[in-house]
Amino acid sequence: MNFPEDQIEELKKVSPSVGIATEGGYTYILLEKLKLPEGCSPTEVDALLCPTLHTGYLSRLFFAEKINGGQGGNWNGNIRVLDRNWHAISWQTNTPNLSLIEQVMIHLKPFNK
Amino acid sequence: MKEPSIKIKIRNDLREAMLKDLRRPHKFAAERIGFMLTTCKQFANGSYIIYATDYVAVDDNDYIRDKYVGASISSTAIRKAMQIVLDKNCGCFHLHLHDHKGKPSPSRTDLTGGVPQIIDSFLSVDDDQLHGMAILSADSIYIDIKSREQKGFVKPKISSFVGYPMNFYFNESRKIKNSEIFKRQSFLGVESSFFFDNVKIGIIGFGGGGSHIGQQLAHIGIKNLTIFDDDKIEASNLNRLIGGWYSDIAKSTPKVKIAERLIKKILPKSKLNLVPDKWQNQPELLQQCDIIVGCVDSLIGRRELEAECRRHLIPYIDIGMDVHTIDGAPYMSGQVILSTPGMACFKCMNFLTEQNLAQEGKKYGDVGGLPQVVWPNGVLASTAVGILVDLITGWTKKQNRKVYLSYDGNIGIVEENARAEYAPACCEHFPLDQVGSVKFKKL
Repeated sequence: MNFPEDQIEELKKVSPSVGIATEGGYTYILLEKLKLPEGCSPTEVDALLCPTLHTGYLSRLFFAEKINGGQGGNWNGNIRVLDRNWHAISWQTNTPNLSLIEQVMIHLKPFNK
Repeated sequence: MKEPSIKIKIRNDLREAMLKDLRRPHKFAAERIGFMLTTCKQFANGSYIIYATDYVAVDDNDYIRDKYVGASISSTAIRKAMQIVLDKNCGCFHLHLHDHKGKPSPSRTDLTGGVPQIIDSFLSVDDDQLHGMAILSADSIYIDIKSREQKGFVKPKISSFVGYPMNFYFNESRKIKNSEIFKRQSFLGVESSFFFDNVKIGIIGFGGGGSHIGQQLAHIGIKNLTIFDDDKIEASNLNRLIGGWYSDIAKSTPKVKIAERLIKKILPKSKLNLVPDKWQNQPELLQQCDIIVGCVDSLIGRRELEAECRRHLIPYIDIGMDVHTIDGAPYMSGQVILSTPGMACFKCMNFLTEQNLAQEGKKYGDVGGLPQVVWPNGVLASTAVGILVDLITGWTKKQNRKVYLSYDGNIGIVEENARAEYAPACCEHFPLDQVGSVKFKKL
C-alpha cells in the first residue's frame, strides 16, 4: 500500500520516525515517539496506525502502552501485532477518506484536555 | 564454548521453489548453486531459531568452467550475495542439491573447497546473523551453520520443512524404542516415538478443548508441552474441563496445575512448561513450539495467534464450538482448521472476515453467552489431535492438505468444509517477507 508523500511528511511533524510494515493483509504505519496531547502521561509513545478497516473500525490507532489523559476511553483493543503488544481504545473516525494525519488527530481526540 | 541449540525452519513452498531452480540444467555446469536467505532470532535461553525467508539463484553468467567440480561460481556471484546480506541484514546459506532421496552428505569439495571461505565472507559483512551451507536432497537437508562465536561449523538440533506434513530432521541419532505402552500405535511409523519425544507442542487455553488435547497428547506420548492458561477453575468450568475435580473449585486451582496433574499421571516423563499467563505476555515460549493447538474463544484472538504462528513458521490448529439459535432451537456447530505457513490462512478460507471480526463485539453465540459442553469439545479436540499426529508423522501420506472441518453437533458429524477446497493453495496475506523479525520500512 502506498501513501502520498505529503501525507507522510505531515505525520513526521508529530512523530520523528515513521515506518511501514504489513501483517496478515493489513498495512500498519509505525509512529515512533508520537507526541501526545498536553496533560497526557506519558507525553510521547510509540503508536501504530492501521489506516484501513480493522475489526469494525474505519481506522485504528494502537499505542505501545495505555495512556492517561483527557476523557480516556474504553481500552478494548489489546492486540499483538508485528511482534509487539499494543493497546487501543474503542474510537471510530466515522468520516471516510481522511488523510493520515487527520486520522491520527481524531484518534487522539479523547486524550485532549 | 558450548554449542548453541539451533533450529532452522524452511517453508515448504520455498523449499519447492529452491528445488525447482536447482534442478534447472545449466549450459555447462553439472549442477546449480543458490543462496538461501534467512533471519534468526536468539532467545533468552541462548537458543536460536533460523527462518528461511527467500532464495536467490546464481545468474547463469556467474558460473565458471571447472572440470574438477560440479559447479563453480565467480567472485561476482559471491559479491552479489554479500551485497544482499549487507542490504537486507540477513543470513545467507550457500545451497546446492544432491538430487537423491534420503539425507545428503557433503562431499570433500563441499567441506574443503571454497564454500567455508564464502561463509566467512558473509560473516564479515554481518556477524549478527548466522550463515552457513545447506545441501538439499529430494526429501531431506544437510546444514552447517557458522556464527561469530563459533570457530567451526555447528549443526542445527532440528531442521524442518514447514508444511503438511511437517518434515523434521534431528541432529541426534534416533534411538527407536519398542515400548509396550505405544506398541498399538506403531503403524504411525518406526520413528514416531522419536518424534513424539522431541517435538514441542503448545496448547493455548486449557479449558474445555485444551484439556482434551493435553490428555490425548499425553496418551500418545508427546513429551514436550507448553501450556498457556492464565485462568483458575470455576464452578461453571466443571461441566467440561477434563481433569478438573469438584474439590478444585473451592481451591480455585490454576488450570495449568490441573493440566500438570492430569498429564503427569498419564505420562510421568513428560516435560511440561506451564505458563499461567496469556501467551501474548510470554511470546518467546510460544515461538519455540513446533506446532500450536489453539483453543481460544474469540475470532480476534485467533487472528492474533495465527499472525504470530505464521511469523514464526508454526502450524496452528484451531478448534472451537458455538451454539446459535435457529428457528427457536439450539444449533451446535464447531470447526477444526489448520493454518499451515505458506498455505491458505483463515482469511483465505473465509473463516476470518472483516465482517465477522467487526460483529464479534456482539456476543459470541446467543444462548446465554459462551455456551460450552463436554462432548463437542471432545469430538473437535480428538479430530485436531488426529491432524496433529499426521502433521508430525505423515502416516496418512497426504501431502499439502488444507484442513477446514466443520462439525454439526445436532447430527454429530464432522465433514470437510467446501471453503477448504476453494481456498487458494498459496496465501497472499502472509508472504515470506513477513517471516521472522519485523522490519519496518522507513518512510
